[in-house]
Amino acid sequence: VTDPSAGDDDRVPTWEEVARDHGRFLYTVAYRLTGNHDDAQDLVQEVLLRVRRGLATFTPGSLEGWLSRITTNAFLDEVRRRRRRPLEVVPDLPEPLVGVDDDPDAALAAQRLPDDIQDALRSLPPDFRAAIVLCDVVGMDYAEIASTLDIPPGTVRSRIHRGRALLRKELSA
Amino acid sequence: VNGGPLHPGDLLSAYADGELTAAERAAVDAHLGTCAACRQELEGTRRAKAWIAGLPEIEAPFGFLERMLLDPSDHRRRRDRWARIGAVSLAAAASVWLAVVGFSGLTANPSGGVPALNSLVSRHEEATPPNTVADDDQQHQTEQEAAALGMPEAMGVYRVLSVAELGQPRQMTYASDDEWVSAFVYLGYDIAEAHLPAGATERVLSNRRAWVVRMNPWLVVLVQVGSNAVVLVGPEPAPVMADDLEPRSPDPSLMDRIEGAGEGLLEAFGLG
Repeated sequence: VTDPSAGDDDRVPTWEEVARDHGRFLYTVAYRLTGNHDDAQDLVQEVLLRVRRGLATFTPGSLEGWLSRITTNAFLDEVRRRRRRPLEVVPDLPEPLVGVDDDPDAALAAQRLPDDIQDALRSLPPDFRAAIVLCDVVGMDYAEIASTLDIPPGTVRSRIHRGRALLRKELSA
Repeated sequence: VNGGPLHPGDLLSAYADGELTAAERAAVDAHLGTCAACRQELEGTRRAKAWIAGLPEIEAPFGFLERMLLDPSDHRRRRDRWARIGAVSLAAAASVWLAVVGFSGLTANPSGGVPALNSLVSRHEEATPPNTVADDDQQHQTEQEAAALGMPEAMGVYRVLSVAELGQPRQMTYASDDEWVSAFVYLGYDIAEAHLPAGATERVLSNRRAWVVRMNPWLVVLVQVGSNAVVLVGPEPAPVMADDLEPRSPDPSLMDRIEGAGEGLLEAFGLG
């Protein structure tokens, strides 16, 4: 979407500026995380409320990185709030993962419809989804993802790799 | 383990993302040289990354961001109330906070609102028309696509140049020799006056109403065309309005800019 390190600004933005100038970015991240417009709108609303409350604590730097952190945390908070049962089982993948999507024609295999990709993304465990979205939609590096999700660097590696493996599995059918 | 040292496994995504140390990278390179399975997995990993990275930006539904700007607590409050009385259905939700039904393409229950004008202006600015001239067949095809959306093949000096095949809204470009106008067609939407931004000036042509919003340097016109809401974004001063538009809320400075500006976009809709 946008290089999160770009557009740095030392000035604290108003929440109106956040909504107006970064609404599209914010909505895209929210939609990729939630996978539907109802939940994306709820999530964006929650983010804007947090932004309005939290602007005092804004540290100058990447505004979109900061927004991504708030969005991801609000998303995972909501996931945990809704969860009525113990933590979902983290899929344990064989290693190495071979033969999941062996298509002799790589160019053909690479073509998937955006809706199918979004469906596959939504099928991932939320923690994996968050790492993938921060990496490949927001464009964060692994250190930023580790800081945003408050997880060790090794966990970032495994969530992204296993998340991608699950995407391939979903989309190979 | 075949191919020598352990399979790199999780490291392959970090490898594809350029996130390995030099030593790790050298080790993975050495392994890849001997292990076809891991080469294949690396390829699959890169493909999965490209799928996600290639997903398009998503437009917020009609009017949503404007309402968040007015009061971000409003949306939640209303939804909570509907949830309490157990009345949340897709149609009810759509009628309360817009765009859900219409956005999913089910236009049987038209939604109302006002689109996110800022993002439309951005999209207009990004839509620089190509310099190439379409041949007659291509132009004819484009005009038919426009007609299918209830849109004219030309608006004054602007001729239709492109019609997006997909998306809500459908983005169209009209171009003259040196300028272009974007038309965003929201299928199955009614423009809701209540959500118009402050400063929107109403115009009436015959019995059809349109609203003009200045977004320097652009002029934005919202008009209902049949069951579709159309948002036009074009240069200012622009031949945006027909001469016979009557101001309801006179704005002298704006009127000066658009009165008598020649053939108008709205006139071209056949609204007379």
